[in-house]
Amino acid sequence: MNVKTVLEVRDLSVSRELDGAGVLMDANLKITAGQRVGIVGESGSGKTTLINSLLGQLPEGLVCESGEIAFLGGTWTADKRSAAGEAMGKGISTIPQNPMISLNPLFRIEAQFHQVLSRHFSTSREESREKSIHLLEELAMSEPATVLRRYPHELSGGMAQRVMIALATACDPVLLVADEPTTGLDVTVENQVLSVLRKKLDEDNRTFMVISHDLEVIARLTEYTYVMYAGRIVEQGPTSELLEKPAHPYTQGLVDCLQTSRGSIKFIPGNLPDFGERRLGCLYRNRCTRSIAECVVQHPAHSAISSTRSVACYNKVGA
Amino acid sequence: MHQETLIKVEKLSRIYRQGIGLASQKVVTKALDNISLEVKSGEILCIVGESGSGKSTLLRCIAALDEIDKGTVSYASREVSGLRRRALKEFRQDIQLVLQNPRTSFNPMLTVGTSVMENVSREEQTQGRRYEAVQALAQVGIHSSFFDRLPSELSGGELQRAAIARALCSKPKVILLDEPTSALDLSIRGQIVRLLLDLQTQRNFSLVISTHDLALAESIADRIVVLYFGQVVEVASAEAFFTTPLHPYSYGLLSSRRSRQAQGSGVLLDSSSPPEFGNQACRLISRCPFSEDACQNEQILLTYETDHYSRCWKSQDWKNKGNGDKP
Repeated sequence: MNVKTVLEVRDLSVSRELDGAGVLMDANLKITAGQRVGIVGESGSGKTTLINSLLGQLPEGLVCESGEIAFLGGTWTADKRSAAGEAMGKGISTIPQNPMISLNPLFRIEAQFHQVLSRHFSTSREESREKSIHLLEELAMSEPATVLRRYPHELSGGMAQRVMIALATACDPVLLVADEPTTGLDVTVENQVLSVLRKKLDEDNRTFMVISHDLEVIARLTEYTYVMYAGRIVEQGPTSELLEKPAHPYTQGLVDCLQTSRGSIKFIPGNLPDFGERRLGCLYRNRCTRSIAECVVQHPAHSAISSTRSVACYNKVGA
Repeated sequence: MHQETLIKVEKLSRIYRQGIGLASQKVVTKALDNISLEVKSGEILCIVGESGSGKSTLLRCIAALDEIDKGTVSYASREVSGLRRRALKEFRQDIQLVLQNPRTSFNPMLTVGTSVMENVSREEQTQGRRYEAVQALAQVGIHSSFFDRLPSELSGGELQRAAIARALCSKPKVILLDEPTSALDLSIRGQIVRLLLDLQTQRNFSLVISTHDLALAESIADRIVVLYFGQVVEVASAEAFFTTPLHPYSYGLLSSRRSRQAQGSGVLLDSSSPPEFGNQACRLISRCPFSEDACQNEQILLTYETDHYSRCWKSQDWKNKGNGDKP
């Protein structure tokens, strides 16, 4: 079966200009058409840097050491802003983490839809309006016409996030990227946003990538997951397999964190290593319960568990 | 076991008026509406609710950092609004507030150690104060080498622990925590819970924690207070709340958490239309799938069992139905 690859990242490394500390190391990932991919990891694990590299939006102070990004036939490196910008306009759109700071506070929602739609489809105000009402209706928004007349500050967090989803899908992007789409939302609203997002993805059969620190969000939205730790991808595999039988001790730790019961809550002791301390060996070894002598010497290479799964660990769980 | 009541909140209301001058009377938001609750010594009380339910306002009112429009807050049988000078200072020492986002609650220009030291009693010499601060930081697992670092050099989890250490320095009787883990990763959340539980056993202070994270509440709370748009809708022991919730809103919160885990999509509390503050009806009426005509009447907090209260007239029915097809 030959499935079209939408996005491929090859050996991408990003480091800090200041001291050369690695923020992202040898990242490899591939998304095929229609696939939904999740990236999970703690803050500081390099998730957002990965996305920023894709979009050519590396912040000041970070430089791309090596690697390239291939998207729909074009290839560019992470610090080539112009090439990435072009590709992004054509095919990648993002659902940002905080909708309130991503919407322009000075314009009504209607105007923000018109701005996006008229730029891509040269629609008139009337046409934009109709299309945006349609988009919002698809996301189970009640009274979309009134929502369009409002300013961002008049929306609740859940509504604003649905507006962002509608805006991001308005131009029918080849790849939709969501960065922590439900962080900061209440559990009831989160539930709602996740179910409309999921429904929308099903309907459009959209290629999708989501980053989150929450395995439950990943589990609900994706079919394939990459686990990142301290700038490296440490495990990858189909989401359900990964959750059922985690192979990397870190993934195991994350899965355990989801289980709570009266009076107890699981956690992974310790913190992510500082950038300055990210040198030799497996970076998880200080927090790991399964570390062995080899872990100190060199970072383990990825070894395949099955045709779709691989893990970077010398002493895998269940091996 | 008899526990002494430390903080007593009686019929507390906090009202925000929008608009200027004469128009200001028109738009009224009751952020807190007639709230009564007690915090006993040595207990862990969790205040649960969505954003906008008034959790943070309640904590700020208890800590005497916000105005009170009606009602009273008393601490150790003394009304807080009447405290002046020395008594107020003592109150502020006894009640410590830890804010949601540690990044914004530390002065970015001061080292973490200095910030923590600020909260140690000024009666001590500088050396003694420094020692106390190092001790407090050590207690939350932060090494003394972090003492002279700036907040920007610490991770979110470390900073939140430092914020807890800062609160410990004044030897408080009550620590109020406003969403202590919402800015943190899931893998760190448990660390904070473990730390709070350990410290609480050692020092036996009371904890009041506001959160929308039910997993956090389940793992730590002795007692749960559920807030909905400024009203207390249910008060229960943690055990009763997680096994037999009596208010439809509590049930909705728990079910959205369950459906999250089971990857389902069963949403009980669907639309999030804000309630009408003008009329008497139950504030959940527009979202509640079980609402009836009688819900248009004013709902009062009813006692269903010892220490289990619910602001819903139908709770008795559900209670009788048992666990199966609730509500």
